[in-house]
Amino acid sequence: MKKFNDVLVIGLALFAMFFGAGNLIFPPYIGLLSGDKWYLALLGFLLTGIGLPLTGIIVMSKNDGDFEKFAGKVSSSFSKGLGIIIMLAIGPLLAIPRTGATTFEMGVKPLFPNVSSVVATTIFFAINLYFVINPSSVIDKIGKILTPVLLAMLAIIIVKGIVSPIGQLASTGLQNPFSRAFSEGYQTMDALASTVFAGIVISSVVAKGYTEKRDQIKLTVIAGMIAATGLLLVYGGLMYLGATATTIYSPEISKTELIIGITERILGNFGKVALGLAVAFACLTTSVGLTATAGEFFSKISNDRISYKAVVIIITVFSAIVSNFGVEKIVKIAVPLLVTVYPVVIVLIVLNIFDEYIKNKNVYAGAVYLTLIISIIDGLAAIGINIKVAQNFIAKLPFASSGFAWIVPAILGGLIALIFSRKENRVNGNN
Amino acid sequence: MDFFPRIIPEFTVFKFIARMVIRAVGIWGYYFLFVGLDLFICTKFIYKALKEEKFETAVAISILMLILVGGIIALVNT
Repeated sequence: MKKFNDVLVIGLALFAMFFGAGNLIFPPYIGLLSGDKWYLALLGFLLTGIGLPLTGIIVMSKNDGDFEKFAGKVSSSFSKGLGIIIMLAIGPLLAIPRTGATTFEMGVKPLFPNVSSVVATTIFFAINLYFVINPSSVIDKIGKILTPVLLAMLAIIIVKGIVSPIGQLASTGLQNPFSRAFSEGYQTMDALASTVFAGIVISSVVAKGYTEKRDQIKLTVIAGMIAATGLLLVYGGLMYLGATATTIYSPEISKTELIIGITERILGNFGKVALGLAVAFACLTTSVGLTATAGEFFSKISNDRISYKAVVIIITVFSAIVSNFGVEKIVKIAVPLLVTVYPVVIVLIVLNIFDEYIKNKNVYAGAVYLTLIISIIDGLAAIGINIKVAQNFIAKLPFASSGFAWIVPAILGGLIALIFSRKENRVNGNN
Repeated sequence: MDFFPRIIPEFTVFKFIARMVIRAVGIWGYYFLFVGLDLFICTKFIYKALKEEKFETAVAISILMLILVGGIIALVNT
């Protein structure tokens, strides 16, 4: 029974950390575009928007939740560099300040128009600090206190929307809802978050007394599945709500306006409150998860010279300032970084799945570095630096139009590394 | 300066292969060929992982297999 409770709390916490405001706003829009074929869109979204992060969690559990073990197969310095970029980009440079700004815009402003953003975000980040200051209880606080409120608000919106739909399901004429949602699920970048969230999940499993590695892996995998099931149910519900609005709203509507409109039609004036609370708790759980993860990471790479508490205080204060004075400016730095590292992390996840069967570790370096070259060119394009020759080349690679130009280079890089190191071994007489 | 196309006029080797395969086996054959290949390779590794009692690896490969099948269908469709 203790094991069941422990894994349930961890699973719920993991669900809530993944489920940010974007995950609340985006599925209804996919549903709106897909109409009566919303279930095909859900299937596509399930594979990349849920399957990829779940795979990331499983892979990280095999690596003890340690990013160094996960990416260090390329090289130790590469792993440190990649870890720092990811932590900064999805932490204080992007997601954490955004959670505060989004909570104000969608959760506070519609209910209390006279409250200033400085007051709202200060309160938000003070609560954030309260939840993260003690690392061993972060998961418990999220899983036992915050997630139930988040789930209750989502359940009210979704169940009422299913019982009394706001409109009829209708065909929208969208040709490939599955393909579109498959690609959109990939764009959520939740797979990136999975590689960093796994660390605090494993820490929590250890803190609960599970010292055997097999137990730790098993519990983390089950927790990942609980989180994935939660995401599937919520995404499915939200997509269905969007699909029922096809005859009411046009596809030109903004994603935020759509979710606000849908909840108001479903719940009337209470819709504002329910959505406000859902957004606030979705943002808070994500912010708490990310702050705690970044705190553990930076404290560890400084060999504990900077304490966990000091790091989380710095991140929280920095995020509070940024969320008021310049999210957009800082997003311009963070997004190209994310565009660059995301394919690299996907390649690392795939290789780590087969780690036991990859005898030659040069395959990691070959696949990752060739992927990185393609990603850097894409990242530079995202900040307006266009290398025309390179971009022409990338545009001609298979799947480039769908944003997957890195797939073939990654495979080739791995194969080239394998062939060259075999030849080297033969020359050195190792074979 | 757009000199790249002069070196390799068109990077169509993949499209060429795809077209050849589709001509030979039809679009459904094309799907079955790649999906079949994916299923075959992944099932082999799932079996291996299960035999070694590495359940987490088997689960991860199963999910990856589904993602790849979805990817083949999604990307070929687009």
